[in-house]
Amino acid sequence: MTTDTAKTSLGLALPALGLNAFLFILPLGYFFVVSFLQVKAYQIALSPTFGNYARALREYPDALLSTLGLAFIVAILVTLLGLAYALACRFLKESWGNLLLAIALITLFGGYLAKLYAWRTILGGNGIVNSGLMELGLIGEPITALLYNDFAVILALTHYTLPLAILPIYGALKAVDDLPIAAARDLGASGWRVFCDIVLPQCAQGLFSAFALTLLFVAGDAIAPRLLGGTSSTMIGVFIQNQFGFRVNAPLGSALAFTMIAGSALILIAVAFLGNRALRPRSAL
Amino acid sequence: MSYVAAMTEFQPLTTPAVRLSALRLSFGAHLAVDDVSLDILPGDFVAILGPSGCGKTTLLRLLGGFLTPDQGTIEIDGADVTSQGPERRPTNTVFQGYGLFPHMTVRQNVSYGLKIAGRSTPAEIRDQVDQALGLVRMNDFAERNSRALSGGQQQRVALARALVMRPHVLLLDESLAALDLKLRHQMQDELRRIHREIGGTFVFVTHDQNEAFFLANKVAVMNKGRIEQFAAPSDIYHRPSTRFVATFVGEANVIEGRRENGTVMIGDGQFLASSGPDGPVEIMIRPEDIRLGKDVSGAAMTLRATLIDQVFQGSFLKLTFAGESGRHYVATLNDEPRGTARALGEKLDLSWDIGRMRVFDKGAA
Ligand SMILES: Nc1ncnc2c1ncn2[C@@H]1O[C@H](COP(=O)(O)OP(=O)(O)OP(=O)(O)O)[C@@H](O)[C@H]1O
Ligand SMILES: [Mg+2]
Repeated sequence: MTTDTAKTSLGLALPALGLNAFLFILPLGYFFVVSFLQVKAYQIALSPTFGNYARALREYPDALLSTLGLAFIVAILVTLLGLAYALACRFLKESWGNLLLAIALITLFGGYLAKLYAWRTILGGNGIVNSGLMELGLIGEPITALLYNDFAVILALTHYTLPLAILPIYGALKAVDDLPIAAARDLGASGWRVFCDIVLPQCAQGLFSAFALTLLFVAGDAIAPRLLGGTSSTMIGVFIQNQFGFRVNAPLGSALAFTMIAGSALILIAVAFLGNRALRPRSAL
Repeated sequence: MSYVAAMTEFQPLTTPAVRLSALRLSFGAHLAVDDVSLDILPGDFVAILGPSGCGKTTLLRLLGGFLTPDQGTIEIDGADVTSQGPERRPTNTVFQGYGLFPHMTVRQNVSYGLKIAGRSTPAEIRDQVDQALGLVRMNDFAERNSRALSGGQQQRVALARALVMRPHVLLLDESLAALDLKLRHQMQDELRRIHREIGGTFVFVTHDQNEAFFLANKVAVMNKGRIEQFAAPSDIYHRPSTRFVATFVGEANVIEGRRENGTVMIGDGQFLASSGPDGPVEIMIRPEDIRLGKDVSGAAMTLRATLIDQVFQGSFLKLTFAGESGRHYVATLNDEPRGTARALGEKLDLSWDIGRMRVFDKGAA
C-alpha cells in the first residue's frame, strides 16, 4: 500500500474515529478513571485505589456471575433463534423471505419499556396465559411462578433482542452465494453438511455480532430484572444503578461496570476462539 | 476409472447414459426448455451449442438435478432420476459461475467431494487432488485461498473439483470460456485426453462452434429452448436440418425462393428440382461450395455475377458477388495461384453442385 492510499484511508476513517471517541471512548474513559477513585463525604476524592474492584469481587460475585450466566443463556438462545429465523428469510421462496424480514423489522417498533410491560401483563396473575389455561380448565388457579423470576427476564430479553440479532445474521447469509451451495450438493453433501461446511462458516461473523450484541445488552440491562425479575437473584445492572443513584458511589458503580465488561469480553474471546476452531475448514484431513 | 468401465460394461448397449424425454421447464411465462428429448450414449462427448439465452444452462441444471422439470423425465443409466437431488445423481457439474467455496483453499475445494464420499484415505485424497490440479495446471496454487484467484484460475479449480470425482456423467457449462486462447486450446486437448482416459459421458455447453466441433462427437444445436438438431459435427455442418442450424453453425448463403410443382425457382435464372409442398422456401449453400467458372457436368447450377468485394483472410479469399437480381453471394476460395487479385466489377461465372444445397420450407418448424 502506498503512503497516498494510507493517507486517504486515514482521512476517511477520521470522522468515524472522532464519532467513536465522542460517543464511546470519552464517557467510558471517564468512568474508567473514576473506578479507581474513592468517595469521601459524598464527594469523589482524587486518591487512587484498587479498593472498588476488590469490593466488587468480594461483595457481588453472585450477582456478577449470575448476570454473566443469564446474559450467556440469552445470547445463545437469541443467536440460535436468530439464525433459524434468518435462514428462513434467506432460503424460503423470495416473497416469503421478504415478508418474514419485514415482520422482524416491524417488531423493532415499540419501545423497550412497552415490551416489558406487555410481558408483565401476559405472564401476570390475570394475564393471557393464566386466564387462557384456566379457561381451558387445565389449571384451577393462576400460576404465580410465571412472573418475577429469571424465566420471565430471559423471555422478555430474548424477545426484545431477537430482531436486533436477526439483522447481522441475515446480512451475513445474504452474502452467501447460491452457487457454492449448489456445488456442495453436487459433490454429494447432504443438506446438513451444506449447512455446516458451507453456510455456517460464511456467516460466522454475523453470528458473532448477534451474540456479542445480545450478550452486552443483557449484561448491562437494569430494567428487565427490575420489572420482571425476582428478588432472589438480582442482576448486576440493578446494583450498578443503585451505586450511581441513591448510594452516590460512582467509583464502586464504575468498578462493577468494568468488571462486568471484562467478564463479557472474556466470554466473547472464548466464544470467538471456539467458534473459529469449530468452523474452520479442515485442511486436507 | 474401473468404476466407470464396470458400470458401462455390463449395460446392454442400448441403454443410454442419459435419456431426456419431453422435458419442459418454464420460468413464469418464459419457456426456457421446450419439449427436449435426447439420448446420450455411454462414452459420448456431447456439445450443447446455441446462442446466449437459448436455455443451455437451464438444460444442464435439469440434468444435474438443480431444477425440476415441469414435464418430462430424466433417466441416467436407465434409472429415473427426475425427482432426485444433485447429491444423489452420478453427475458432477462445472458451473458457468464456478461456485468455488470462498472460505476454503484450492486444495480444500478440490478435496471436498472426496471427503464427503468417504471412500478414500487422506493420503489417497491428497494424491488424487494433486493429480486433478496437475491436469488443470494449478499445482502451484494448491494452498492459495480460492478468493485470491483470477477468473481463469477459478475456472480451472472448478474443473478439477468436478474431475477429481470421476463422475459417470460430467456436466460442463462454458467451462473454458474465461481462459485465454492458448490456455483454452491446451485445456481442450486435456479434456479430450481425459475423456479418452477415464471414459464416462461428458456434456459440454458452449456457444463456440469451433470448441463444440473440436471436443464433441455429437452436437445438439439449441435455439429458444428447443433442440433443433442432434447429430455428428459433420452432419450438423453439411446437412443442417433447419435454417437456424445452417446459419448458426458456419457461414451460409441463404437464398429465398418458391417451390411450385416440385420445382424451386431461385431467381437469377435458376431452377432446382425439389419435392415438397408449394410455397416459399429457403436454400442454403456454404461459401466454400461455390466455385468459379461454368459447370459442364450438368449436376450443378451456374449463374453469372459481378464481383463487388474481395477480402484476403490468410488461408482463403472471401469474395462477395452480386447476381443479376442484386442478390449477394459469398464464396470462399483457396488463394491459388497465390496473390490472385481480381478486378472489382468483373463479371464471373459461379457454380455449385446441386447436392450441396439444402432446401428448407419457410414457415415450417
Ligand atoms: N432463475 C430464472 N428465472 C427466470 N428466468 C430465467 C432464470 N434462469 C434463466 N432464465 C431465463 O431462461 C432463459 C435461458 O437461460 P439460460 O441461462 O439457460 O441460457 P443460456 O443458454 O445458458 O445462456 P448463456 O449462453 O448466456 O449462458 C433466458 O432467457 C433466461 O433469461
Ligand atoms: Mg449459460
